[in-house]
Amino acid sequence: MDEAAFLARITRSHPSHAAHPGPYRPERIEPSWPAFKSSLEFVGGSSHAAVTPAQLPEAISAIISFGAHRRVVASAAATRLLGVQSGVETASQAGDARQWNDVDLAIIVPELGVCENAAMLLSAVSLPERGLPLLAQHVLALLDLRLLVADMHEAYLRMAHHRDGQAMPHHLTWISGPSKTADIEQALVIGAHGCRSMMILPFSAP
Amino acid sequence: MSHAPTDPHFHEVSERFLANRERTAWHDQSLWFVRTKRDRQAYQTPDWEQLRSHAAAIKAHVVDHLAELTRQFAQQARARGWTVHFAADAAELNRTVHGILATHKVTRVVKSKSMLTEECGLNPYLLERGMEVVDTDLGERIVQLRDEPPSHIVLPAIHIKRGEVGELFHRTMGSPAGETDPVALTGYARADLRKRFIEADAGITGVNFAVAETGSIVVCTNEGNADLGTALQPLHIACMGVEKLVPLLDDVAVFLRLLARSATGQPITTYSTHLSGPDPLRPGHEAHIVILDNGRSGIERDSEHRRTLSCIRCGACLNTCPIYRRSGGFAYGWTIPGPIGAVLAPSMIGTKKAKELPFASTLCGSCTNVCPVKIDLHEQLLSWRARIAADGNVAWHKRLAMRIGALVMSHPGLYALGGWTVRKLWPRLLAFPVGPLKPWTDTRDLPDAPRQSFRGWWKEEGDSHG
Repeated sequence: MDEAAFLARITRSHPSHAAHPGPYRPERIEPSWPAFKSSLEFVGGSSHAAVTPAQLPEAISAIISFGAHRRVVASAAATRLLGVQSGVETASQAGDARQWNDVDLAIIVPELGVCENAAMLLSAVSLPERGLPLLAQHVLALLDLRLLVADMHEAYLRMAHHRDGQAMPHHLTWISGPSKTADIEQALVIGAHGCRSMMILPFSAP
Repeated sequence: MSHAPTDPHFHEVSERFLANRERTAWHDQSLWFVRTKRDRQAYQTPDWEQLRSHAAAIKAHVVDHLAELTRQFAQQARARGWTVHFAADAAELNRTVHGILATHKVTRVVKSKSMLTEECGLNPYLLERGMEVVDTDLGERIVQLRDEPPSHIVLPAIHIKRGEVGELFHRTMGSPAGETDPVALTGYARADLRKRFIEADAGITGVNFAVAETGSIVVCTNEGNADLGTALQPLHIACMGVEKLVPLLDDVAVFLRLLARSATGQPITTYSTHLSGPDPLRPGHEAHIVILDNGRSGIERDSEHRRTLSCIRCGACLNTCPIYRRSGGFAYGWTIPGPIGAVLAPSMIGTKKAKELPFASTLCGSCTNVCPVKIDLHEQLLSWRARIAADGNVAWHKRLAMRIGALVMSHPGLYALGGWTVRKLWPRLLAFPVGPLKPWTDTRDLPDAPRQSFRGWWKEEGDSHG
């Protein structure tokens, strides 16, 4: 059916004309790493102690050897942050996303972290390689502590500033902890289709 | 494949469900557990009530501006490269989706959860035309393999026990016989479905929110299946009801804070993904949206019930409903069970077919109290009862009882006689129930009748208190 015919069907029949309530701005709360960490634990994620940017490569090497991860792939953004690291591939945008189906550990760099729910923002800007953290068995996110916000409203506000009039990136995902399901008798199982674990390595300027 | 049932027999089916008392109690407790998780999240969110009011106001605006928002959304969506389709009803949606898949010579489809496609019976339509359609939400996969519809809108397999899942997976996925551990069983499903994600030619998803401002859709899952079902395949088809629109990107924050807290007691769904058209980094990637009416415009025109279009399908009213918890989703005989289903069904399939559903409620109002978008569900149920009666769809014995009630209430002498009868004779009569009254009295007890009527008491005592 064409658009005009469809619009004719759904054209308002009712005299009411409720206005949009406007932006929702609750009382501002200060974001903090302990608040994020407590949400993260609730959603089944885990975290390491915060390091300085210079300490990141060493901390990551320790995580890789501890987890005995065979194929480790860093997003392009992660490689920009870390530099090239031995034992870590850099994701190439070219080619099919299915190339990451055997990745053990994906290293990604989120754009924001939300304290109320441990959601981290990934988009076509920070992660054009969208399939990487979905197919990888485990995910390690390098979270800059300056990017914490208290709640989702602040997060969307900040996102709009980031975009600064630019169009929405093609994909934009809030990811909160590892993939999970409770579809068998409400028993929580971590590792449904996406990653089986979500580790956060926070870092801040010294 | 049956699905999209449209002929509810609430009493019959719920009675069968209740016959297994142990299972009924287990079902009841499972859902109450989810309800308590929702409560903890609501209590921990200091601005919860303010948030609900704001969400309700956004939705009221949306219901009043469906055509304007649809036009804006379609325009923005096309600018982002979506191909936008419109469907008047289920048949047109099915034809449209099949047409897109056939044009691309698709044979294998992965699908993430969408109550709308259940409503339309899309799966059986595609299967009959030789396409392999795999539901990828674990709960939906379980019911699909059992050839059943979902019994809950968020927890499709809430009526199934782990032992039954174990047997099912042993039969269909080759898991070891006797395996009942949910972690192990989920592992088998993960491996099986991962292969299907990789091999599929197309992904079909529902839509939680469609943002008019940006032409993007938002899809929420905990398992990551909507993401895996759109990031790997060359073709994506999103199916949405026209009421899923929200005006602004900012509005999504309000709904993401409410949805998972209300649904499963999580602070947000694990994956909440905005998609804006085809991925420019994937050559040849195509993205389509089908916007469906299928009775929604009729609900919009119904001034008493148009608010039900605000529903975000969180399932909180199901989890809290004492009737749903003890009847099971199949008793409703319609795609959407529970209080919200009981108010949508009469709009969608008519008061004749849905005549039992608005009566499947105690009108306790718990559904209204938990609804994140403040739909006055128990008022809606009551108003449907009146309309079902006005349409002549109430059983003769109920009509008779109501007529007798009206007669007695309007004649004080009859009322006094009735009171005397109930005080003196009724308890004795009920002790020996016979005939058609027996099933009713078997499950109900009268409280002890007072010795005297209020009017008798007033005659003796009232004056001295005056």
